[in-house]
Amino acid sequence: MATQSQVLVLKVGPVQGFISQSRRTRDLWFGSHLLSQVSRAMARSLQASGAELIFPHPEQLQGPTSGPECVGKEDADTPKGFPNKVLAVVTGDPESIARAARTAARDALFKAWERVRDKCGGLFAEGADAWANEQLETFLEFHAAWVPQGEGGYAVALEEAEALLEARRALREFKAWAQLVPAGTHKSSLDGGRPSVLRGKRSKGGEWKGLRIGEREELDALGLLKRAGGDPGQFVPVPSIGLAAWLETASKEHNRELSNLRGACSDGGFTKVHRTDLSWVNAFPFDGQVLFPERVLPCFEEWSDGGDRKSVQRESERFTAGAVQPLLDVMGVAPYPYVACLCADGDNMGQALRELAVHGGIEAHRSVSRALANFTSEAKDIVQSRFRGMLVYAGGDDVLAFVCPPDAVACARELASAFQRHLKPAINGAVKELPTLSVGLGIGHVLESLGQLLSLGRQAEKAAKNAGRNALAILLAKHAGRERLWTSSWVNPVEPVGRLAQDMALLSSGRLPLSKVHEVEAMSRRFAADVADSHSKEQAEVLVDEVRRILSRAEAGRREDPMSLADVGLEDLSTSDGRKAHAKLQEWVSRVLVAETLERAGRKLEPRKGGEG
Amino acid sequence: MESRAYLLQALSPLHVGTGRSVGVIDLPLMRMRATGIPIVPGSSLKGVLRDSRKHDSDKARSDAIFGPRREKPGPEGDQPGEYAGALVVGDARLLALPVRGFVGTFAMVTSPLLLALARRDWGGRMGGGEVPGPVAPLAKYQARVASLKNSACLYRHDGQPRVYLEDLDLEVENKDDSVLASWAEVLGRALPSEERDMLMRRLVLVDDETMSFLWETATQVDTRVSINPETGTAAQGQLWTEESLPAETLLMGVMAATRAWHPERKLEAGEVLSEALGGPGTMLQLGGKATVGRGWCRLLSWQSGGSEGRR
Amino acid sequence: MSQECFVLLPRDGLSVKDGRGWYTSEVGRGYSHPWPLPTTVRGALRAAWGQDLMTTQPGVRMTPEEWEQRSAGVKLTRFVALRRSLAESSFKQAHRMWPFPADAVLVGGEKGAVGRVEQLLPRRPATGRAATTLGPDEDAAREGLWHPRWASKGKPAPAPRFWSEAEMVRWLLGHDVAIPRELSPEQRTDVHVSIHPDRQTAEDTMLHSRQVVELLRLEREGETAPRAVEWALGLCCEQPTRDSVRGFPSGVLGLGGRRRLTNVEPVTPDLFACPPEFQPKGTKGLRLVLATPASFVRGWLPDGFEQDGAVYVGTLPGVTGPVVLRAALVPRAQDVSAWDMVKREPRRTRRWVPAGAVYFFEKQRGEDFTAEELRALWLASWGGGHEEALGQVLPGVWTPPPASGA
Repeated sequence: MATQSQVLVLKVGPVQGFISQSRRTRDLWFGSHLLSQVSRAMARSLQASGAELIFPHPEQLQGPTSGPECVGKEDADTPKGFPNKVLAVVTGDPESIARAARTAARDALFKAWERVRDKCGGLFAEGADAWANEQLETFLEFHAAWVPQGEGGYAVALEEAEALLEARRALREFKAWAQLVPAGTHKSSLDGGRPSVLRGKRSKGGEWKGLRIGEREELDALGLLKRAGGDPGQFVPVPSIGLAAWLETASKEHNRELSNLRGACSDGGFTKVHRTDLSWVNAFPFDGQVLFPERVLPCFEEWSDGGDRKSVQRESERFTAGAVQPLLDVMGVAPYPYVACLCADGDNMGQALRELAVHGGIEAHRSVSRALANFTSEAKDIVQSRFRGMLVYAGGDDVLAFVCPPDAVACARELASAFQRHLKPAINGAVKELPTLSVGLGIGHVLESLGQLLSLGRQAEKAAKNAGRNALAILLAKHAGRERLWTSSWVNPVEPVGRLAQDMALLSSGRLPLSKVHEVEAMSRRFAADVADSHSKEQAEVLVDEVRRILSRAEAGRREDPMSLADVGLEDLSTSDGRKAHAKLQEWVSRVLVAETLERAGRKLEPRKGGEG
Repeated sequence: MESRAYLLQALSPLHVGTGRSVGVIDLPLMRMRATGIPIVPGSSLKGVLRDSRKHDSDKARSDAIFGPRREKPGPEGDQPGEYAGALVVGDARLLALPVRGFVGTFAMVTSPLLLALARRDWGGRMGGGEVPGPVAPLAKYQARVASLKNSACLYRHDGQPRVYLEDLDLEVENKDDSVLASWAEVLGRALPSEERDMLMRRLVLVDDETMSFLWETATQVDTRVSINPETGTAAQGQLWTEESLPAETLLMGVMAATRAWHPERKLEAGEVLSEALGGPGTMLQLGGKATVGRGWCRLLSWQSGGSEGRR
Repeated sequence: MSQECFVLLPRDGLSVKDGRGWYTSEVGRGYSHPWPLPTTVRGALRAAWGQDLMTTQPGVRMTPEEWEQRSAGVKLTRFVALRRSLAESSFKQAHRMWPFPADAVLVGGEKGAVGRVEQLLPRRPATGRAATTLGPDEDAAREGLWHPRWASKGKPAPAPRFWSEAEMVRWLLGHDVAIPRELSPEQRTDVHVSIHPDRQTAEDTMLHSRQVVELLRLEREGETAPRAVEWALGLCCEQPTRDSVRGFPSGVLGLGGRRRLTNVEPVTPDLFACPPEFQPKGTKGLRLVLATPASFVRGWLPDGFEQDGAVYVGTLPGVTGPVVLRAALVPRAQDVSAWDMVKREPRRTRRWVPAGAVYFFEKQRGEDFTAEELRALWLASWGGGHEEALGQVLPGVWTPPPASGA
């Protein structure tokens, strides 16, 4: 067989679509974790075949072995994600090495499944094993490509192998379903294509309740694997993340009322979150949804063991009056039901890696690989310890997390700094542009579907890339349907964290009433965005005058406190032409409205400042 | 299916929105996303029509028309066995928006696009006669009226007729638009007799771009405060804005029906439609009780027959 | 057998729910397919046909089972997306919109802007070299397919869902195409609350939302005034031989979730014909672009193609002699879950090859595909599901790369 060394790339999927098929928080976390496990098994197999791992760094394989006792628990200990693409240099027969990796990936999936199958046997429809197996067998999209290192060396072979892999992936082969599923079997509520493996007849309570499978919810094998794969206590519900700042303040200032609520939740038998490692979770280790009085009844209905409606209603009313309302009263500020989905991705990584391969070869890639491994470790610490958030995934140059809105911007800033800090020495001036990190924050309602929140985060990340990269983008989607987007480069002209802080201060002090912001928006909409050159200067002057007038006018019942353009961060408006002035005003309105949401979310609450650990 | 066009005339500010109450401050109107045209979803109208019949002892008849009610709330109440009702209610779409002006207090403003969509809804014939043809397009910031002589909205500056719409000052073409006049006449036939000539006097046609600007900005926006029920004072931080279509707004929609096949009732499609549309000018309240005094509408149609869109 | 050709113009958009149902989040949310499925449209036509039959033939009353059986003869034979300016009064071939083909990628461009459309061309592997790729299972002929490569670096931009007749005809003939404008219909999300009939207040637990695909758009080119355009579905449909209803479909139709009202506008069959501009020359290589999704017995692999040594060989409708499958650009499967109206339960999931997938062929004996063969392939049916207009193809030319050393 060939003794020449080969560059081998492997990719396993599906990723984005699979992860976003989530209803409960645990679906999202475990789905992501499962993919990491599969990919990790693939990499381990490569290593066992004597391959030299380049990406990700071999260090990322360390940690607990993937024995059954570790699946689930492992998430809490080593949440470092494992990228779905693996790159290695091999000396044996690349085809058989790739084949072994494919077997390892499949085995990892089935091993995870067997645990769930044993645990959830009672939930299964008759004969469902047959189609569950088919679903699992056909689930993984595995592709590999390899190219010998010839005269061009590593750089050329790598480029060729990656191109070959992408070309191969233009065919996503699939088979028609072969298993005959009984007539009338519903489709999975998460997937829509795969039939459910769950029984139709269900008792209330028991395992169904433990796994939070809704009355009409259907799950296919992969969906059940996500739902039941982990230990329920390790997942922090999204509403609790959104309210983390509020809850932590409550625990500091009104601990009596909060412990009263904790007690009532315990008595009510609500699932408790066990994350002793996260101080902010321990303030209230239950689903934060119960803090919205109108959600209490639905929660009780879900949790009741088939009691009659009237008594469930009475119980929920007692809970609200006795445990929720007293806390809301003393807090004085209502919990703001929004959460930020943070999506970050390295900029110009492809280009940088290509240049490095040419100039530094494998060694250079290895050091970048290590730098990325260090970054992902720190990312976990940043999101979960320095700020109040939960990491879903951090691997390679990707981060996906949920953060409470008051912490979100500072958390994004710290991730971007950490990324550069880790990469700079590894790259050591060898490339034209040092890779940077673009971060998108999609802020949506805590009761939105997780898929929807993820999609907001991804849209925001894309907006940050489109804004020239090395940028922050905040996409605000109010439940009522209006969306606001604001983007800003991390570097200039004014860095975004301070900018927003100033806006928030203006708003919270009452100096800049929201009505004036709306007035500026309504006014500017009455002017053309694409004004003709002949009227450009004139329009700019009118806009500046109008904004000055609105800002300096005293509101009824307020003392006179005229503000200048510079006071509200519009100092360069007066030097713009008509089009620019129009665009600037629109941008300013979006920025202030984003700041307003952040201000509301953090009103009277203490933000975390972060700081390098 | 048989279909019939209907008009919805707002008698008080009308808010049918997309928002809800969990910490939301803005309650915008429901609009088509791509065009921004305000709509009242057919499902809301159908629900109100059904409830307006709720005292009918004839449950079978009501179920045959509207479909069965949910027996239980929540997922429990979702029964796959539901048969659909015979009636389908299409969304009501903005047709003419009242806009304040200096002259004549307000104008009813519409545009070639809105009339083109209305033509589609009539399916060629209505009120016993032919539907008016498409109106000629307009240049940007131009307006036309049915009759310069009869219009209540014009003022003249140096002999040039003009119209003020909010703070837009538009030039009006110095000739009558006979197609627009027949629109005013034909639309007016659905209105109560005392209001029939309202459109002839107030209808102003503007270009689509000006119209889209108006339907975005000339709606009514009220700041509302949530009152703490215990103290009777404004709850802190509970301030929100609610957008509504002003009184006098006209929207147009279509209803369609199949024959009703309820086990105990057989109704022809035409009967289903007549039942749903009710008598001339049925009064309805849309948008729920949260907005007392708001949401009063008149449901109107062309009674003389011939508006059915059968081919 | 009577064939009716008409266009469906959904008045209030469309919501064609996918298989996930409502229980996808804490609060109900229904997801819509981005474009209606032929299955949904045929279902609506069958329902309308039953109504029309009962209306036109007094005394006829069908049970659901009879309806199921008798309406099975209502078949879709054409299924084409259309887009025209609201000002136009009829539909022409120029209004046709075709699925964006998988062999076109949008590449290049700064800051997310798209640079140009690049064609993916399958490359002949070096002779005598073993496959250098591996897929999810063992299939030597599949790994031996030619892989298409693009020259540009970086990630391709997301493709639009459709492009126009003019663009598609140029593409099929092998000409360059300028960057398409983003023309796809937009989606919105409607939030519904159930109002409690006694209290007249919103029931919070009954909140649900639903995606709606809008078919009316305002398009703006440069600084010109916006122009209203409408999207529509062009169909031909056969009626059952025994029970043909005159004037079918009569009146408006209800289509998709909440039976959204849909106008019907009659058209002639030329709307679906091969356009006069499509005049290919004979060609060594053939591309087939799926204009509608395809249903093949084994999944991605076309029916009738079998492994012959290291390649897949089979035949194509209207093409003389066996052909070799050289490359297949197939996106992920489209899972289709339909609802059984009679039994009121879901039907089994079917997996389709999505519209826009592209297959490349050469004749086994090396002859040219003739111009006549190409024109005859225009919207020819391939694979199963003919009653739903599945597997209709658009033929295109392709120049296979010369064998190495040749």
